[in-house]
Amino acid sequence: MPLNSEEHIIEVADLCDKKWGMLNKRPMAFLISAFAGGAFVCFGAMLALSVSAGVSENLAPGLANLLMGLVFMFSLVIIMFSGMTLVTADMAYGLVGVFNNRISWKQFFLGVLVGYIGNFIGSMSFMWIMSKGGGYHALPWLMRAHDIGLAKTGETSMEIFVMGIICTWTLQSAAILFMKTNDDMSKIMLTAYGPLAFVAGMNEHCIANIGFLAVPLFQQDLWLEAVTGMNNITPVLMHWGFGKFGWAHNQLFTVMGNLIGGTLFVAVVFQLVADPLKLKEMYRTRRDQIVTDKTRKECG
Amino acid sequence: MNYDYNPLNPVIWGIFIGAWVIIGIIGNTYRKKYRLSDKERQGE
Repeated sequence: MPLNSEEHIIEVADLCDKKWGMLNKRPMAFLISAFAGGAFVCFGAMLALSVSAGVSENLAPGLANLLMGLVFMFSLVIIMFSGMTLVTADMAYGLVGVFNNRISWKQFFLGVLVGYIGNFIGSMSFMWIMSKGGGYHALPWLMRAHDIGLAKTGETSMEIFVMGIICTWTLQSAAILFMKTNDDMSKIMLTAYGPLAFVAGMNEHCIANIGFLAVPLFQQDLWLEAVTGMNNITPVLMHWGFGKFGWAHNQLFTVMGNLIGGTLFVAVVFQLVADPLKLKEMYRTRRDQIVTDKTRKECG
Repeated sequence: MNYDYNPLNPVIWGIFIGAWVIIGIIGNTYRKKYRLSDKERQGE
């Protein structure tokens, strides 16, 4: 039986308390959990690259996207069940915490920053190791990784920004619904929906993109060597900076879009839908329960 | 000037800052109106 809106908001605020409590008391543990979260996202990115190489667009233009989404979707499940940190999920949880006076605005932004740094290191590290793997040096995977990179970095800033908003709108709807039920199977289904939607929907996720774009950059020399001499291919190179085909160009506008989708369209919406008076009453009931428990303990 | 690949795209920065101003106003109004202090919440 799913929780009602007010119980759900209290669960999310409690999770925010736990996460930001960890950041305050054990910052290194928080950073390590973000490192693991970043790597977990890239487990999905690796699988997505693996299954989508060589899929013909003539067969069905969206087929590769569907395959990528299907193998990517359990990334968020393993993050949520292991209690690791994903910055885009924390954007939504943290904002609910701010509305419920659990954390301040300053703490919210600090948590998002530290989460991003940890995710960045985890994502980059995993993808650097993966890029050295022999299987991904074969031509179909080199070509696919480069095609994904060019498609993502070749978009205009507005195209990336808008897809970034949609990404966390779908992903954080799933991440916040993870807290709505206590049944494991429902949690898995709800959580898997988020990555499926954003990957199959061709959206832009900052942590996934760190990995998706780093691989072709790490492997660019190999790719160039492989396509040199092919008559039908004019090599287009990617780079780490701003501007067309730049990693930083994609990352900046993806982060900006992600910072809006999961907050304005998920956290604020869920918070405002919950009845504030009922919410306050539930907090009072909980407070009374704590007082009763304390009194009982003191008496005997 | 074409801002399609410029990190300082004014339209996007405008939307981004505008969205966060809206979130800030809604958040602060909500916090003030329905505030339950830490002590109240923890039963002290």
